[in-house]
Order: sequence, then structure tokens, then C-alpha cells
Amino acid sequence: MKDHSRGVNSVALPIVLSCAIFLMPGHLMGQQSSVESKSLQRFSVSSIQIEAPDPGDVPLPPEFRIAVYENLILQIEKTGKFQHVYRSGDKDAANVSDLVTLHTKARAFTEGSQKKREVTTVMGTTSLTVNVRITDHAGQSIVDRDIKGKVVLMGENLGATYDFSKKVAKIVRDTF
Amino acid sequence: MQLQAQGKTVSVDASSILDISTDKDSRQDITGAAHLAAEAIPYGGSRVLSLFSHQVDVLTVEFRDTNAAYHGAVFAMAKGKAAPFRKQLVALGAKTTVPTAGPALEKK
Repeated sequence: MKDHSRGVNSVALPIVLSCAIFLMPGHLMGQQSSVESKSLQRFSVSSIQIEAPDPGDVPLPPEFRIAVYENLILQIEKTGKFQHVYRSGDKDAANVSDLVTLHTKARAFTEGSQKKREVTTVMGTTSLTVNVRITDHAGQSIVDRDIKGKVVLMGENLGATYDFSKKVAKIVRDTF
Repeated sequence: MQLQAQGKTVSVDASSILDISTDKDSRQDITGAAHLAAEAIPYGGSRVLSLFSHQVDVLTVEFRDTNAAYHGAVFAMAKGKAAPFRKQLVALGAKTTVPTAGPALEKK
């Protein structure tokens, strides 16, 4: 019996040790990947629809509203993350199952002056802050952030909308 | 109305225009050859004009295409040209949220 139990121990011990060796790194790796998946969670979808900007209570001039929208379309198309970038109201988007939707709502707007910027270099900044929300098909928020666009030195006031849309495109690149 | 931008030409029926508005707060002053060039330049093209100009009218057009997709276009026009152009489009069936009855009602 003694010899038999020794035999069991001699067989069981390497099995237990090997299991421990395989399980420990696996457990640790599992912890790492869960942390990574939370901080760098990426979504894979085929299409995005860009809704028309909501000016909210902010007196956002129509040309800024339109420039925000058109620049967003352009910059998000440039990311190459989606097979289709649908405009607001596009009938073709209705049947896409993995569609995400980008909503924008103005939070703040200050119209500066191109002349002041170019003469003084320290005054006349145009800036706009817009809430950007990307929702999945079920309406759950994937992104919900306030993004600021501005033009500080050279360029037209509408350049703030270009700056804003470039920042949104970066968020899209990091998210999808 | 025909729009040309980035090598694409789009025909827009006046009745598909959801809103058309002008901005009387001019930003640039167009003179000489630039005045002729700036008849209707979509946003983007007007960047060049800003180098030698000071006053323009801004015309904003919102419309839907045949697939109901929403589009917007911003034009820089020679000063004083936007309001008559808008009036003309409204007469052709374009919708507008800004009254076009007379200059007194123009947005300032």
C-alpha cells in the first residue's frame, strides 16, 4: 500500500504542478486582457450614420452647423473605418443591422474675427464646443464626449469646424 | 441649382431645398477680379479668397437628395448677391425659415 500511495503522489504532484504552471499565467493573462479590453475596447461595425447637428440653445450660425456636418462626413470617410458613411435620413441606412449613429449637439460657440487673429495673433479666436455621442443600434452610447474646435491664428472662422471634425475622426479611429 | 465640389456635380431641385439662409454679417471684402471669381464658391474654395478680400455674403443651403439623405452647402458670394439669389430659389419652390419679404426682414 505504501508503495502504491507513493506512486500516486509521484504521478499526481507533477500533474498538479503543471496545472498550476499553466493556470497561473493564464489567470494573469486573463487579468491583463480584461484591463486592456476596458481601456482599448474597439467596436467592429460596417456602417455609421451622421445625424444633422442639433444647435440646442446655442446661437450657432447656419454656416457653422452645415460646416460641422459636412466636415464630419468628410473626415469620418477619410478614417476608412466604415464600409458606408450614411448621411442623415438616407433610406439605405434603414436595413443595416450593425449601424452606429453619430449625434452632435452644440454646447458653446464663440465667433471670433479672422482680421483680429491675423493682426494681433492673440485675439479673435473662434471656438465651438460640441457634444459628440455615438450610439449603437440599440441606442446604447459608445462615445459621449464634449469636443472643442477652434481656430487661433490663421484661417477663416469656419476653420474651427475643421479642427473639431479632425478631433472627432481621431476618436472614431480609436474606437472602431 | 447645380453644385460642384471635389470633382462631383450634383443637381439640386429647388423643391428639395429644406432651408436657405444668408448671413449679412460679412467677413471679407471682395474687389476686382476676385469679385467676379466669387460669384458662388463653395466653402473650401473661399479659403483662397480670404487672402485678398474682406467682405462677402454667406449663403447656406440645406437639401435632401433623391435618397432622402441630408446635405448642406455653404457659399461665399459677392456682397449683396446672396439675398436676391435666395429670393430666386424660394420663388422656385425652395423652403426657408427666414422670411424673404423685404430687406427690413433680413437677418443681421
